[in-house]
Parts: sequence; structure tokens; C-alpha cells
Amino acid sequence: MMNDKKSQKSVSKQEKIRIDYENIDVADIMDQIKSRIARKPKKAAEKNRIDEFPTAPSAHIPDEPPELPGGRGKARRLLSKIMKPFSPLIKLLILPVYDEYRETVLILDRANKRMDYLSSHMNDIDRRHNMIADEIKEKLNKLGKDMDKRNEYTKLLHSLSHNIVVELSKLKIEHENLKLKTRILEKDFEYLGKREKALEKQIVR
Amino acid sequence: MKVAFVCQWYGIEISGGAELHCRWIAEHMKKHWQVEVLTSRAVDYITWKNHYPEGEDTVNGIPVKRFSVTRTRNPIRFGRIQNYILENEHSEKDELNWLDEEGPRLPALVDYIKNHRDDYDYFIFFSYRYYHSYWGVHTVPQKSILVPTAEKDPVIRLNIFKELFRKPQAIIYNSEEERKMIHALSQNQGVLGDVVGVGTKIPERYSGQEFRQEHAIDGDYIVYIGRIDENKGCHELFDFFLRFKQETGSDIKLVLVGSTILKIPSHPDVVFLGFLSDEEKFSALDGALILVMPSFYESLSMVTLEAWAAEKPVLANARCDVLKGQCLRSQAGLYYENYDEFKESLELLLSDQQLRSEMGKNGRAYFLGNYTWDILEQKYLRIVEQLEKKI
Repeated sequence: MMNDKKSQKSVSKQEKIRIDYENIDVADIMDQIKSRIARKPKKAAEKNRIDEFPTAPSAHIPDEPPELPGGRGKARRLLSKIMKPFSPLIKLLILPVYDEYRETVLILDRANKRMDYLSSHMNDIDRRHNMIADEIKEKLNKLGKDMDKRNEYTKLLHSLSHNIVVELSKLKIEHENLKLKTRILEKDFEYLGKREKALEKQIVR
Repeated sequence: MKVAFVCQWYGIEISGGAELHCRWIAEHMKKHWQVEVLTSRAVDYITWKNHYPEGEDTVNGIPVKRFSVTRTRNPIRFGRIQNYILENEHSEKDELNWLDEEGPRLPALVDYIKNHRDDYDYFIFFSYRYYHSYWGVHTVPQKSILVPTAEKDPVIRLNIFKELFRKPQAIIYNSEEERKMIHALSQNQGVLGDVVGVGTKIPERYSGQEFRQEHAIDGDYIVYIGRIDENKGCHELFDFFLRFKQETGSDIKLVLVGSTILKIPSHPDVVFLGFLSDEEKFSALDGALILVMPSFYESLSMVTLEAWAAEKPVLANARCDVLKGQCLRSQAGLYYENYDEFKESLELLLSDQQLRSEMGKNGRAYFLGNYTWDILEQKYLRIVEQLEKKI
């Protein structure tokens, strides 16, 4: 049985209830069930308490890079400290400023043109968006109405079947009563038949 | 020995409750006594409207005397009066007024008992809370046996009933819990009493497989049998069952058998079959893994006994002392007080086939040891025998 397996799983997940099948003790089973229920919220609270604590980091991550061996690292740090005020100038001298400037202007120009195009077509896009939104809305409304109708039909069917069963119940009770009454009448009839025969016999005598 | 069974209504239409209990006991005891039934002309317990003709009738071979109900019940007025007496300080007169409103008002029946007390050896009154029992026991306390069929209902605490439980010669209880409750309320330990209950009619032939085929039910299912009503805990059952399915992903179905005054939730795994015959009811039990009994108020629960007769374990509402007590005594059912317990108990019962099988066997043994007709008849006879000795 499918259900047996399913339920067996849920029981085995928790502490199993001990049952002496040869000598069933309902009070003991109920005590075990009650204590299991009483333990349940405790377990959940413990789990929550554990979850509240953040997990500890596994290893220390150093903030600074490790020093190079020998005096090379020291000299590099000293040089970069002295050159720090001149670094923008050095960057300017090294970079191809004109090419970069040109490229930037071109990108901006392209972006401008796209913006112009988009702003000129914005109304069209808006209109299209609105049309699509309207279509979706209409479809949703239709679906909603269909759903409402179906819900109503389901409700009607449910009350119909409910009422049918109630009426059938009444008829069944009536049927049982009539059956009983018939049985009683049969017995009465039988009895009257016997009496009739007895009376006939007496008359014949 | 001539014994009168006095009941609020009586007929072949009855399908459950204290009235069916009375009918079955009367039908079985007619082997031993000359039995007669004194009852009303009513056919429903909401209005007590006169339905049957007044006078003598015969039901399944038992002579029945029917008396007119002098006033139908107005459920709204009755509800108002009941709320008042349950929530306010009140006098004995208010309680008697409540009893009158509850009905069925049968002064002619009480007069008949008074005038014909010598024609009968004993009067067995069913259901403590109605007019006929209260005034009947007060009219012939020396010849009264009361079958209270009491539940843990707030009206049992009314003062008029404390005195009532001390009046009869004997009380026949449905369960140990009912006896304890009545003892605690009225201190009537001095009144002779025994726990008897009622049996059931087990059909000669029933089949779970045929039931499944006939109603196209695939897979495993649990079953509820009885009136589908809020008082029976059905609202809570629907809630718990759907939640259980959502949380566990189980493919178990809930099959509901009985007439309903509640709207059944629309779910593919909640199958409502309406009223079924006794044979089909036992077939439904045979095909089920367990019976679920969510009721808050039960005096005995005949369906629970039927499930045990069919070797099925029960999952019951523990807030009903009687159901919990029956599960503990029979070792044939688990119980729940809240959703967590419902979930755990149901999961355990569904998953453990051996447990279900052993509990089913325990249930059957409990039923055979306590609720076969032979045993019940002997208990009734023994009570009367003890009363005879006392005289």
C-alpha cells in the first residue's frame, strides 16, 4: 500500500513509537505520542538558536601583500613614494591623448545620434507598448472571466451533487421504512391467513 | 413479568440514538418478559408534532400505546429559555418550565402510568432529560428503572435532575464514564446500578471490496459514520483532515456516511455517500482502514462498537470522556485532543498495519465480551432479579 510506505517514512524520520503488539497499551502509545509532540517545538528552537550564530572564518586572510625577499621590495616602495606627486603627469605623457579624445568624441556622437533616433521614435514605441499592454489586459480579463465562470460551475456542480446525495439519503431512509412496513404487513397477512384457515377448520367441524 | 418501556418516541423509522437503543432492548427482552411500550405520537424530536394515531399500535410484534403531545416545541423559545437557565441564577420553577418547553409534554402518559401502576411490574424509562422520564419516575419511583443515556451536556447539572437520579430503584448506565459523572453530580451511589449499554445487529454478509467497487473508491480511506453535524465534531474533522493531507501529502480519503445538515467541503478526497443501509454500513467499515469518531458528546457511540465488531480500530475525540474511556478499556483505538495529536495518531495508524490488525482484534474481543445480546439480556435480567430480591 502506497500510503503505508509514505507514512512509514514520516514515522521513521522521528523517534519510532515502541509498541508491544502482543499486549497493546493504548495509554502508553498516547503518552509516547504526547511526549513526541512536546519535544517537537524544542527541537525547532534549538535549530533556530544554532542558526543565529555566524559560522567562524576558516583561515586568516592577510591585508597586505607579502614582502619580496631581500632589499628589492624596499627600494621599489621608496621610488614609488618619491614619484607619487608626478604620477598624473607621467600618465598624461605616456598615454596617446589625442587618439583617446577622438575616440571618445566619436562614441559620444554615435550615442547622440541614437538618442535622436530613439526620441523621434519614442511615440511609436510608446504606442506599440500600449497596444501590447492592452492586448495582454484583454486576454487576462477574458481568462479571468472564464476562470470565474468555471469556479461558479464547479460550485454549482458541488452543491448539486451535495443536494442529490441528501435527497438520495432521504429516499433511502423512506425506502428502508417502507421495506420494514411491507415486512410487517407480510407477517400480519401471514398471521391472518393462518387464522382464516383455523376458523375455516372450526366452521367445517 | 410485565414490563413497560417508556420512551419519547418509538417507531420503525428510528435509525439511531436512545430511541433505537430502547427499541432494540425491548425487542430482545420480549423473549423474557411481557413487554409493552408507552410513548408519544411524535416522529421527530425537534417539534414533537403528533404524527401517529392515538391509541394502540404494534411495532415488530410489540404492543405500543401512543399518547398525544399536548404542545409542540417552539425551538426558538426553548433555546431562549435554555440559555437563560444555563447562564443565570434561577429557581426550580424555571427548570420545570424548561422541562415543559423541551417536551414532549405527555400528561396523558403520566396519568396512564399513575392509574395503571399495578398492571406492570416495572417501568423502564429511557433518556433522563425528557418530560416522560422526569414525571414518570416521580409517579412510580418504586417500580422505576432509569436508562439515562446521559452525555456531558450542561443541562445535566440542573437541580431537578440531581433529585431524579436518586429516585428510581435502579439505573442502567451506558458506560463507566456516564456512571461516574452521575454519581459525582447527584451522589446517588446508593441506587442499584450497572453498566450495560446496547448491542448491534451485525449483517450476515458484508464486503469492503464490493463496497469499493460499487462506490468507485480507489485507494485507502478512513470512514466517519453518523449524522454529519457540528455537534458531532464534523467541522473540526474536516479542518483536521484537510490540514493533515496538506502537511503530509498523504493520498488517504475520508468517506462520510450519514445524513447531513452541514455543507461538506469540496475536495476530491472527501467522499460523501449519504445514508446507507446496515449492510452497506458494515461493508463501508470493512473496506476502511479505521473509523474516525470526532464527536464531543456521546453516551455510548453505537458506531464505535460496530467498528470494533467489524475488527476496525478507531480514532476518537478524547474530549468525549466516554470515547476515550472505551478506547482505553478496549485497547482498540487512539484518541486526540488537538491537531498535533490527530496528525500523529492518524499517521501511526495508517503506517502500521500490524497495529491496526491487533487493535481490530482487541476491538472484536471487547465487543464480544461486553456487547453481545446474550450478555446484555442477562444484565437486564440480573438487575430485575436483584430488585425482586430486595422486595
